[in-house]
Amino acid sequence: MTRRFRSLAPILVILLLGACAGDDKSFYERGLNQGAQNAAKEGDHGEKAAAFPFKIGDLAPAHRPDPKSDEAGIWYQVDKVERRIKTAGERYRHAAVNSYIRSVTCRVTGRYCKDVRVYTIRAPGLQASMYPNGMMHISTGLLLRTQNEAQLAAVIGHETGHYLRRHSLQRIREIIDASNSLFFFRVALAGAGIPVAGDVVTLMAIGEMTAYGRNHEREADGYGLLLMTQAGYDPEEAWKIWDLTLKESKAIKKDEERTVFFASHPQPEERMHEMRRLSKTVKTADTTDLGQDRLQELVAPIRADLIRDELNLRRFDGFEVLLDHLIEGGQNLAELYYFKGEMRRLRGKGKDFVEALGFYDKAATMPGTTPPEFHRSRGVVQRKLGRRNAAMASFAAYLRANPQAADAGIIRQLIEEPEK
Amino acid sequence: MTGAKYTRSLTGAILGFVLLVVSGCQTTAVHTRTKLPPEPEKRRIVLLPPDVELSVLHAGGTNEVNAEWTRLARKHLSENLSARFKKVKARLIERKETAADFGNDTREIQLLKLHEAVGGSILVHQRVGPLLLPTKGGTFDWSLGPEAKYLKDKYGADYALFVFVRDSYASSGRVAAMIFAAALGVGIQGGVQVGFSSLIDINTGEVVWFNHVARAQGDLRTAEGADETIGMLLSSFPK
Amino acid sequence: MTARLKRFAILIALLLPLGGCVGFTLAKGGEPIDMGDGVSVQPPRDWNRMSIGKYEYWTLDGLRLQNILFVKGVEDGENIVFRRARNEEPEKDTFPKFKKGMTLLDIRELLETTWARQEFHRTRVTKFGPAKFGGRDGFEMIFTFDTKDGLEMRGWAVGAVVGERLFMAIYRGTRIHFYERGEKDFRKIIGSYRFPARPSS
Repeated sequence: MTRRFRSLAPILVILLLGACAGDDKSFYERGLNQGAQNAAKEGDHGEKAAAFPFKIGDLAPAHRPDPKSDEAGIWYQVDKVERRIKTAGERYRHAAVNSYIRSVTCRVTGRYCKDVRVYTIRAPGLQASMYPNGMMHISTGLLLRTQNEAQLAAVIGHETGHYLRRHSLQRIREIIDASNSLFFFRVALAGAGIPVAGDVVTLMAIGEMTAYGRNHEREADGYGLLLMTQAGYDPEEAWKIWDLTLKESKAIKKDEERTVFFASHPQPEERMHEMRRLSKTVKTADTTDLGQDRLQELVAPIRADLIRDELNLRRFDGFEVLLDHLIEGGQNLAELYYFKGEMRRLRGKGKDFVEALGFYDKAATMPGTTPPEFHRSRGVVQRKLGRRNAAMASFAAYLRANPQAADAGIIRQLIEEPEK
Repeated sequence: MTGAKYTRSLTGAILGFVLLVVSGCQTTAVHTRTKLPPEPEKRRIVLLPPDVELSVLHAGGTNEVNAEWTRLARKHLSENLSARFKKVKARLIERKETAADFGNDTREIQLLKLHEAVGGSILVHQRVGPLLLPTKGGTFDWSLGPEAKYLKDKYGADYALFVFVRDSYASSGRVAAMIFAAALGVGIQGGVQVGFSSLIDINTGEVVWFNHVARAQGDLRTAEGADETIGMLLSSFPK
Repeated sequence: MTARLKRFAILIALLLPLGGCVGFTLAKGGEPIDMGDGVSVQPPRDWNRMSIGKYEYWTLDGLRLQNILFVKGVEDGENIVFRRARNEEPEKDTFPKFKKGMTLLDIRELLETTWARQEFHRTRVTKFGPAKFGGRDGFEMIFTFDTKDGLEMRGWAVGAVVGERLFMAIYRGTRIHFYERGEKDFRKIIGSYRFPARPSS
């Protein structure tokens, strides 16, 4: 489910080659039905699982490949990626968040709990990827988009499905094969020179892009539903993530980006439809947990930072879709209307400054708390509109609320600025 | 376009290096010290985790790491280094993967990350390529600074040795591709070998010895091949 | 290691196709260095200097260890990121842009957002206030951050808007050892930074 748009030229060529893999909707059910073929194996979550007709039994826990196999080489590089990510700057160092993610992951993965290690990466956007050695990366942007724990469980379950079915490994092999045949094609065209990947991370990114991946995604969706349901979560929450993704991506105007993204994933409409249909078949009276309060309590204190990360991308149309989605959730509306103002302050086109003030004013009347920069942002916009007295008042309010601010000196200078 | 895009991968990066150096055998050691102190208790060297990767270069240009080869190469490297250091009566301490790798010892982690940055800087800014720094000129003056002393107590060593090797071997498909390409008059790189090693005086943080290898031959999969490569890599190592 | 080496190699190969191979030249200590546009500085000792259009990188030991980035006259509607060619990395089109009416607050936001997009992490500004730069009214910022690989860094930025263009000198170095190595020099260099006598202020 990662979105990583590297150099497009080689990717497009791979796509052309991979298009022969074929699309197959039955892959959703394959994920769900896999266990039926392994009916002899015991259930994965104790008594609760025994009630389900579907079971999982693909990969033995703690699987390590034969050192002489090609798989081992890939694991070696992936292990290095893991060693690096443990102390990387991009790793999100927040004890409560990390411990929460670990416990949700354990609940979803059941007996595979020890095999799956999740790392939270500080990055905007909904990103989740699974590596062949059981390492999972999720972005803080994912936490911003899930409305409850059940939706988070759906994503974690989906990625675990990739791991259980060893999709990553298959993809990497596929890329090597594709690039081998590609090579002769290139040389014959003398000078086309499209090099492909060297290291495993780039291979993974390109692997996301092949058509072979679409069936993988369907299968992982099926497994995701199964795992989350076995853990007691409400499976009817799963399709909602795709609803948001669809809306956000429609807002992203760059056609090129859209095409490539959807080439690697089944069309969201199809996914939503299939997942809604299948979730009804697995849902029981016991699978109702949403975990809304738990997730929202965790995210509330960090949400402003995460929203700021999204705003840094300066993709205003998609950003507003996300904000509206959060507003529907009803948590800390003051903060959300503040950001409606912020995006207009930063975009600064046409009526944006006037509308920004309107949103700041609205935020002040809403339940919840605005971030500490609220008055400063308001003062900046008032100043741009020439409303000098209002701006001075806002800056003064900012200083009162943040006497130790690093930029207090600059703010004072703005207040003392002579009228031009 | 080809030049820029080609280096999205490490393979490309390595080939980039190779294109820059004269083909054939190329190693140049540089050092500020030719001898280790005579006292045996001052000749303790901690071997930082060697960064070694051996891979298969496929016909299509992808590099696939072969774990078995890598394991063998690290084993040969270890044995070779131990034997050499025994000969000069220096004690090699092998640093096992420690809690520091899991982020528990942030001071050590920062020193290791800094060392990687320094090693890369030496290679790129003083040894090869178009980014050489004029101020570095003929003098070799690199250090991690006094903070390096933190490692002294931790490992009971006076020096730290770091080895980095990347080595790729052409698969038979690749060899076939090379022949095919040659028939069309297009030159294709075979496998390449790139490596560097550095020795740090932990008491001062000074880099006292640095060497690099960049060539199109060499085979770390066998004991003899490893011996040859390590011999090149460690040439003029302080006695 | 791999990531770092990769970045160096990418840097090398990106610069290779540039005709004549852009590399570093010597900025001799004790002598005035012409930075173009009538601006000059004087380094106290020898530094290494690479100049590409509106951007200059100075370093003593290597770009990853410490560097001064001079931004020389970014104009309304331009971002502050060095890009080799127009069609390279189009996502840089969505990097935040300098606007001529910007206050210092806006400039701080420009810097912090650009750094976040360049994948520097945990940027913490410990000081941000008005200061003179090249004799003009500008700003000064002291900060720390981590690289994507997790190496801890320190930074000191100064800048000013002159003639509706943004000029900055940003010094960054590793927390261990290398920031300190160049810090005094940076202070002297920005102390010697001179804009030409008011032409079109």
